[in-house]
Amino acid sequence: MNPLIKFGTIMIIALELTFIKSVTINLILVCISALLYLVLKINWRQWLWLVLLPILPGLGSWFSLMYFGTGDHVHMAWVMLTRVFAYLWLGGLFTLKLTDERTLFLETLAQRAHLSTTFVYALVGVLNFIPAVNQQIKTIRIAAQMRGNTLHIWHPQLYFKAILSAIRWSQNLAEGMVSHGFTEGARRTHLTVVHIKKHDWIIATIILVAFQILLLPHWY
Amino acid sequence: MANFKIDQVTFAYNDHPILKNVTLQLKPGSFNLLVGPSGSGKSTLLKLLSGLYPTFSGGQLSGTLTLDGYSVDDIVPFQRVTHIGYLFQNPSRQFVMETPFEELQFTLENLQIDANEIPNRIEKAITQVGMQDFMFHDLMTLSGGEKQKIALAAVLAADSDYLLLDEPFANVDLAARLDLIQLIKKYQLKGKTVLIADHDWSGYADIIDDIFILSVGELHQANATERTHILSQSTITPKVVTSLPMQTESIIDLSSVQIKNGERLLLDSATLSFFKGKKTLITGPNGVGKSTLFNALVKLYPYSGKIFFQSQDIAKRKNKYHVRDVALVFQNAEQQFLAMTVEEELKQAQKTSLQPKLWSNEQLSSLLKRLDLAGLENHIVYQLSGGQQKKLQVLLMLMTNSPVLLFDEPLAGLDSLSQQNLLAVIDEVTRQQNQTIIVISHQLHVVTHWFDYHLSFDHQQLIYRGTKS
Repeated sequence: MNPLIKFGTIMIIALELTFIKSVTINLILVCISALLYLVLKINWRQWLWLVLLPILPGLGSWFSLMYFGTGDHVHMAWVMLTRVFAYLWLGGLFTLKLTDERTLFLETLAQRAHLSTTFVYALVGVLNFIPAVNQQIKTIRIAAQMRGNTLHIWHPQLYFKAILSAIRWSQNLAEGMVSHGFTEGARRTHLTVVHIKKHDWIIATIILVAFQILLLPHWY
Repeated sequence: MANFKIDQVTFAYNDHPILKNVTLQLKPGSFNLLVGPSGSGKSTLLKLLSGLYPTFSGGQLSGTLTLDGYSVDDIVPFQRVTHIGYLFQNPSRQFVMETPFEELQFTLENLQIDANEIPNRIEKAITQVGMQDFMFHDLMTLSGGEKQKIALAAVLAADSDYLLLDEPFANVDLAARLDLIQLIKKYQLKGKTVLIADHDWSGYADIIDDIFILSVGELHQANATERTHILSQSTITPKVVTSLPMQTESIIDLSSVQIKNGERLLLDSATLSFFKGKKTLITGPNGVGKSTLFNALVKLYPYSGKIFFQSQDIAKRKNKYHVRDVALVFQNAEQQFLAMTVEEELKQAQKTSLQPKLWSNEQLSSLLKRLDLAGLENHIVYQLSGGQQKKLQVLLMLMTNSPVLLFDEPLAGLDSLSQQNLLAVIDEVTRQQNQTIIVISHQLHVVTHWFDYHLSFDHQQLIYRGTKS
């Protein structure tokens, strides 16, 4: 499925979820996501993240509603707890596969969603720099240590150098893009033209319709 | 070919002139060399010609700088690049995408090349520079020299009428350098005009049409004497005269050290020593792992096996103490700076030196004069020229008085006078304190008799070269 369609579908469901106060629906979504994760074969570390990450915000809202809420607070406490899980597990369906689908996603944004190419390629450039950031921080600290300065996490100099690197990089990126002929708003050719397949649209529609039908009974 | 007119160009930052009345006539279809000492304004001139400046730099530009009557910096980039291609001095500065293939694809898509033609052009350009095996490698993992080759492939693929190259071979080994010069010559013979700024004048003798000399912002065409002098630089790899180490006292010892870059094996179980108080040169082709070895020695890069500093396993030493003993002079000078102005940097270095007594103000000002850095005290370090940054960086690192100093290409981008001055300063300072120095360099002309020992790094091996003494 095209990542942009996937993104759209997930966004719509997530938006609807904000207005639905149902524990069952949330749990159904988590179960379906879990099934999909089984098909996608994610590794144990990713499973661990999926379980751990929602616990804190989920339990936080559960406790506050359970013990300090008014009205229908017991029900809402469970809704909030399961909703956090549903959001994260749904979102994960998109983000956990993004590393493999990044190029396609960005190409789709530029070609099909007609997002500004400046935005898309600046994003590409930045994403490509991310692995270098950690190494850069480490280098900055060791470079300072060589000259007898220890830069700790709380030292402004560390951030000064980091920000300076970031500014340099962004300047280089801009110069690099222009020197390779990139022009804001100009037409470009595309080596691979992205087509969104008809069955992607059909699947997305089926998912969304099925979801609406699922909402019909008044679940707990 | 479009008419490129450069007439009476003056360029200044805050009324501080960088270029004065520069008039440059490039004959269509000619091969031209631009020479001049570090800081004379070569990079600035090329960036102005390429249209990147003053858009990206600010500053005041006057005079005529036009392409077919249109001001160069007003032409939209995708049209400008079909006329004027530009290669940056710093190879890591010009990439947007993740792999060489994607980078060239990005370039050609910008130029609105027909999609059917793109894959062929990419493959041809990358093969020409001999990097076909790296087409889908992560650019971040390539060495400085390899990145420069990819950057060259990108400008060749763009097929511009004018090709402006700023120190394209500074990090490239000698054999590759001669190949690339021939490649660019072939490109020129297709009817293109080439302008190369280079400090290394070897290898150009039979292929150059005109030579331009830039000194302190003023440009003139080389006369017969200057021309003969410049083109007489020999192309043969200078022979480095060293002896084989006989000494027993070592300072750094490697024991079965293995270094990898992703899947690529760089160093295969090396066991050897670096000797105390000696000057050791490391040479080897691009991408062989020289800089990575240095990074491993200062614990910035993972390795397997053991590395000892004075018999202590460096893995067990705290970074903070280790890098005071073994310090690295980075290839990129900016990484070494901690403050804003030259003066602040020097003050900081005086304060934290292991031997502060050696660095009196008088001593400093005499060294600054010798390195041609006097009068720059109030300048922002990040705005110095590439050569000035390098010289300042080396001085700051000498001031640390670390027992071992690792220099990664300290001479790249320096004119030969600056190189000699810098070498003399390094020699003097390190000899006084019996420091050990290890240097990676591709610039060998000035250092043939400078080193005690010579290690060659090739085929995953480090081997001492030289005559038995």
